[in-house]
Amino acid sequence: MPPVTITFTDRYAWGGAATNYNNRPYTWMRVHGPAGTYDLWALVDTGADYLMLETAVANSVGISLGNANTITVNLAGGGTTSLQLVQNVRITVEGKSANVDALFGSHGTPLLGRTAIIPAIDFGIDNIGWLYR
Amino acid sequence: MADSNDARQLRQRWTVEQLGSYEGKWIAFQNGEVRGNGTDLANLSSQFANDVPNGKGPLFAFVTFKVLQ
Repeated sequence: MPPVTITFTDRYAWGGAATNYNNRPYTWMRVHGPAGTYDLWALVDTGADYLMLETAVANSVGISLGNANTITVNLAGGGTTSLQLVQNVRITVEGKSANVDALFGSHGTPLLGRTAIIPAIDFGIDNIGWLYR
Repeated sequence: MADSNDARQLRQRWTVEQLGSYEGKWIAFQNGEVRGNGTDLANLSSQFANDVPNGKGPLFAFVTFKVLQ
């Protein structure tokens, strides 16, 4: 395979204020809905398949869960949980917007999984920090 | 970096010393301060129900400094 070169435009360096003094790729993101916008602190998680948010986020911005399919999700830490899948949720990550599939019903830290990362940003990681463009 | 003012300020505050007392809770952060907190995001969000439709809601963050896997 030939080398792949990606020119990222920004990097959040590990261990400094830009990464909350740790090595977690946190990002500011916005969820758009018919009733408003909701700003969240999310963890960019390439090990997660979907964007995972609490139900309260959907309720706040008017995203209806009434017709959403309920799917069973295997958790990385073991066990399963049931979440509701909503398609075409508008998000903005690091200033870049995309329509993505989102799972609602999780608890705790919002996770920005691959099916949301890929449409929104090019994501990278190195020994200095996490990168995007 | 494409960031909001609240996000920039929250990054600066994200230390155990400054936010450790909120471990395991949601916070609503705006204008450089924690405007609300709680374990239930729905309850916390309801306090800002009038701000969200106007795009003036706070930045919601789940605070944890514990190991994540």
